Amino acid sequence: MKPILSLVVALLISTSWLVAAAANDEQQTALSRLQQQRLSLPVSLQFSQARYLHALPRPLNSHGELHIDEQQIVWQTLQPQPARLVIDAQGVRQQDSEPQPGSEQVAKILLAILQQQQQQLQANFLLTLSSAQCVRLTPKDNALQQFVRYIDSCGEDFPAQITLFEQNGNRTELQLSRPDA
Amino acid sequence: MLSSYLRFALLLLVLAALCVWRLAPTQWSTSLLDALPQSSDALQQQATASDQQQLALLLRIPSSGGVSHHQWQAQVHQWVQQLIAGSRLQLSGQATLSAFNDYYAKHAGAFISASDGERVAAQNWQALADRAQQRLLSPAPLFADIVRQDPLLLSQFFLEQLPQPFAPFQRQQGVWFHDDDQQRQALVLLNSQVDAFSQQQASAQLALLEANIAEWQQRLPQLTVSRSGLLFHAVAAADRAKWEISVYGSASLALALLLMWVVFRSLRQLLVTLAILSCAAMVGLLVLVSCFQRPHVLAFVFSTTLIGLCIDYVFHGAIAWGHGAERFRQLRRPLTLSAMSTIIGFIALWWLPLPLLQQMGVFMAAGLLSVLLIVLFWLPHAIPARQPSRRWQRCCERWQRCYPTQPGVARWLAWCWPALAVISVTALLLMSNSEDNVRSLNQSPPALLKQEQQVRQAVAGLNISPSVLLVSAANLEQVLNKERIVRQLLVSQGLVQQLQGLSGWLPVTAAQQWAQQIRQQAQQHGAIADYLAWLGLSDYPSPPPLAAAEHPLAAQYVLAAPTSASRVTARSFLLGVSDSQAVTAALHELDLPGVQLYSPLQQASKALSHYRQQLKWWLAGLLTIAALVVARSMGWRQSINIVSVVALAVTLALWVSQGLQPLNLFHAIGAILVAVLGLDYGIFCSHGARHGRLGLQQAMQATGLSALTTCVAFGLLAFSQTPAIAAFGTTVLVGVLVSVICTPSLALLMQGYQQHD
Repeated sequence: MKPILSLVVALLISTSWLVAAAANDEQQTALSRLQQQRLSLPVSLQFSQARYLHALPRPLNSHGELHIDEQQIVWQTLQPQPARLVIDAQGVRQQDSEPQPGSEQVAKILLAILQQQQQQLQANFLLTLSSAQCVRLTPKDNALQQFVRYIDSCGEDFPAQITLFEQNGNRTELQLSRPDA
Repeated sequence: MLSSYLRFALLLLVLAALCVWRLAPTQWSTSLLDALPQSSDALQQQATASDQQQLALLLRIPSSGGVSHHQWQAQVHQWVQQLIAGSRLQLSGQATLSAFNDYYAKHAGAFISASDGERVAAQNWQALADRAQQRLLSPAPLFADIVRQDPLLLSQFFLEQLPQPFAPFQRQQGVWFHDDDQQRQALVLLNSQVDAFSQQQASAQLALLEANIAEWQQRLPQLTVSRSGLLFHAVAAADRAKWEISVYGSASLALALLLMWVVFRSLRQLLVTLAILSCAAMVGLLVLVSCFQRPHVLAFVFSTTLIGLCIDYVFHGAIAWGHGAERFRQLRRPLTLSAMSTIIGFIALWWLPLPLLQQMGVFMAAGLLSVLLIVLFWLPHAIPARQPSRRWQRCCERWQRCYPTQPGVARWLAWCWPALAVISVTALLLMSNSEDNVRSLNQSPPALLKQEQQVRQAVAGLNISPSVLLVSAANLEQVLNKERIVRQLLVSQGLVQQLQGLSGWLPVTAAQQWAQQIRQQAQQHGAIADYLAWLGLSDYPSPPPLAAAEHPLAAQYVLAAPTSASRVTARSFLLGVSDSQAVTAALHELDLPGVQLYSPLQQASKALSHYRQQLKWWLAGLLTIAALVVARSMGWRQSINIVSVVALAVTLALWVSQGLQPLNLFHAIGAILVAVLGLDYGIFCSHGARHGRLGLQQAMQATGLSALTTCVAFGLLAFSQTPAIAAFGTTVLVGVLVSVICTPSLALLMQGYQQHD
């Protein structure tokens, strides 16, 4: 009886170790995928955004340019209406105005993803691979979880497509491309 | 004599049994608020009933302490849940983010900020459409899925302009968090359902809280906690007052017993005195609990002054009995005279509309009457006729020789005391400096004050125990409109930083009209039509009706209406009040019906001021009654002189006390004791003087001992760190000293004294 019990215990320990190791492996793989997507800053990208609000019959499309450096992201919409937003640690704001109240969290996520702040991402998100080229970031933080279900960052050598899935069913697809592409 | 002791022991046993029987079901009130006159204002009664004491805890750990942001948040939430599970504490502002989102999503389109209202009124449709489009294309998420119901996102912008309390702290599950490079901070705002002024409940509540903090600090040693809130200060004050009273009380009792031993050298005398005091206390207590359903513990505490008076009568009785049966017989009249004038004075307290003083009056009157009867009829049977020690008698003889005996001095004194009393009383009435703020009665420990400061520095906009604005009207809509008018007035004049109320979370009534206007014009105006087309919407929706009562914060601000009331009352909190008198004046000038300022602390301070004023009149009444009673026995001239000396002692005591701290209720209570003791000293010395130098000497032996024990018993309190206790102690110390020094001079004015000499 005793050897069987020991065997069961050993089996259980090794299984949980294997599960933990596998999760850790996946986290590491996801992290290395993110590292491959890392952009060298400063960088300027073109974007094309489609915002799917389930209350509306069609997506809200826009496109423009992103200028990313160590401190901030300048979000320059060209179509359908020119607009310039600055995203930094204080939040999301229009040029020369106060940040939108409550936008600090969103700004931090966008900065972390687009500036590829590995430490921030690891601390705030559970990283998994949703496909070969897509890293899924699921928020750990309760406050963030109230808005964001998860974020997919896909691309081979840079984040070509970032999709934000909100808790209310809305989603935002952001296609990024280099200006010369 | 044995049967006399047995009879008295039996009486004590019966009284003790009655006390046990009566006190067991008695519910003592311990809250300071119960001691104050109840507000006759229905609104204030409602506010008091729903009042909850708020307290704040600022929890901090170093950022580099090895606890991650998520671990920290999880630990704080777990600790808070554990804390509130077993206590009468709850997280302040229970409305969750999802409750807010649900409410605003349900009523989206009905909320418009004032600035957007102006844009609508100016028909600035293009700007409204452009802004909404930019917001939709911004990466920042919308608070809810409202775009179909509110295409111009007016409710979204309304929400974004709402004040952010406690920025940069962010609220998560009821707790506010903020991290910086040095530390991780969590602000826990709690509502305590116990009354901070109720010593028993508040101490139990705080003990539980402190145990929880200590237990967590054991697990997380780098955790520091700063506390803010009335509960902490009230309990610290009560604890210190209890400690001081027990220390000073024990010391003074020991010294008083030592003095008695020095004077009488008799253990029996000591035991008899203690037995009489116990008997008086039990009689007072029994009458108190019989007259009042819920007596206040403070009335009992103040009534300990009874000891000072009772011991006085016992000393006079014992010393007179020591000098012979004839002397004791001669004492009966002044003893009765003195006791009756004091008892009448205390009975007069019954007619003051102040529960605490009524209770104190009943206790004192019953206790004094019992002591008078015991001293008159039992004392000679209880103690042997034994004079005080020779040393004490010699001491009193030397003291007596200090007073002049020439008739010329008597004539001068006859004018001197009344004149001095009139000057002193007038000067005090004209130049007295009083402060009735309850906060000034207590000095919180420096460590607690430092913590309070830390919380206030870390969290701007936090105001514990603020003034409350009460607004009442026929319906909630009218209440909110009145609240907005007051906010506009007070904030624009810089009298308050913020008015926290339900109206701040809801738009003005005109929002509904604006929303209708947008809907009517939207179809006709190109900018809105193009914008709707871009969204893929064919028309602008009707705004939903606004249901203010359903707001998640309504329960926090709207007071529970009494079943008979047809009016709605809401409260709001004034934060950052620069000048409360100016706020009161501004509200008075605004003259908006159903609006009033209510501050529980101010209310308590006002009540204390009221008490003090009433006691002033009571003192005047007591001296008048005493003058009338004494005049019947000793003539008008002597009566006026005795009352003048007492008035002088009281006013000099108040003058000296005023130099240490502004006058308050506790000075007035000390003045009561000074007045009744002073009257006793005056009556006994004057009466003793009728029987010549020896008569006066015997009276002085008793008054001297009485004054010494009183100064020892109550004078020590003058050194208390609690201003209220020190106020009482200083007044009694100075007043009794002045009385005992001045009253022997009254002997000169007695006809009998001069004839005997």
